[in-house]
Amino acid sequence: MQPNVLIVDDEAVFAKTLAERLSFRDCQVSIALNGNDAIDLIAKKNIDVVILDLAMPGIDGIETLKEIKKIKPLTEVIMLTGNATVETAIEGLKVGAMDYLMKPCEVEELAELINMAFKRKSIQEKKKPR
Amino acid sequence: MNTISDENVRFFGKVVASISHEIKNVMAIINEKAGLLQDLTVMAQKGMALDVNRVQTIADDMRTQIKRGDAIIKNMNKFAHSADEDIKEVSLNELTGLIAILSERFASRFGATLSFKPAQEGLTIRTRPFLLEFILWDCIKIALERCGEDKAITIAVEKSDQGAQVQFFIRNENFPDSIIIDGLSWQLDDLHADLKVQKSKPQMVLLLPKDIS
Repeated sequence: MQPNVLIVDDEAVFAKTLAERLSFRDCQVSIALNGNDAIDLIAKKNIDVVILDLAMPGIDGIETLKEIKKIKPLTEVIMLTGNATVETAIEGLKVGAMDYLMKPCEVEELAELINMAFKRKSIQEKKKPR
Repeated sequence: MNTISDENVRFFGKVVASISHEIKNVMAIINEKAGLLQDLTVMAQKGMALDVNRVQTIADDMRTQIKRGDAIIKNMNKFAHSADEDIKEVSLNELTGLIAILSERFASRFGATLSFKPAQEGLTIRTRPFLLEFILWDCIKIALERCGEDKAITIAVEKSDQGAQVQFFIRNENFPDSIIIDGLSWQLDDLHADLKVQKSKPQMVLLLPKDIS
């Protein structure tokens, strides 16, 4: 089974390139360029793991994360931050993100985290009462 | 020499933090493009055909990002040097244009866009450049907080009877008659400047003398 991954980042070139590289690593990847589009997509599609940029125009990363957790609590979120300090990322962990990476990051490290997140979500889904 | 306040230092910090974030984004793109070249090379070594045009496009994309990074660093350098001299002659078009560019990321957080209209002819004034940048940044902040549904602000530089003016056009019918500018008042005094609100347009106008010395 391949994880369904959503990359949320307002830097379109970054998002497209990362999507292609993750597709070489057995991921099914979609892209959203802002928080609102991401929330719409997550509500409609079965997304396993979200790669979420924290600094975005309009609805920011933390607000997007809160919405994602409200509509799909089992969807795992990995934050990507360009900030030199980790305060916002720590705030994200408190509201339900699984982990964070600093930009620029190593794709192998990200792919490993995605696989961990996918496994975690699968376990949680099995535990969930039907 | 004028005193640099805590607000001025915070402003400097905010601008530098915003610029460093932009540079990180550029580096992240170059990192992914370089990684993509590596991925394609590994696949080629395993027997998959290497598309030369694709490699060329990736190299072009990397060059584009390097140019973008260079422009960001040049603006950061201009901004940093604006604090070198207390008073000097500056091009108001250049200085206002720089602050408009540096404010773009801040504006995008409000979902707003900034457009800049320079004066037709070059307009130089003798002023305190760093303090003027601080005031322009604050005017943009005031405009962004009150830009209404349209979320579009136009910043225009013009010659005036006293020297020059910078206008901030805001398309919001509910723009207030007056704005509390307590935090800015001594800074405006230091520049011999005035900030007026014209609800009828609606716009804010920053009036600047030709020479403060």
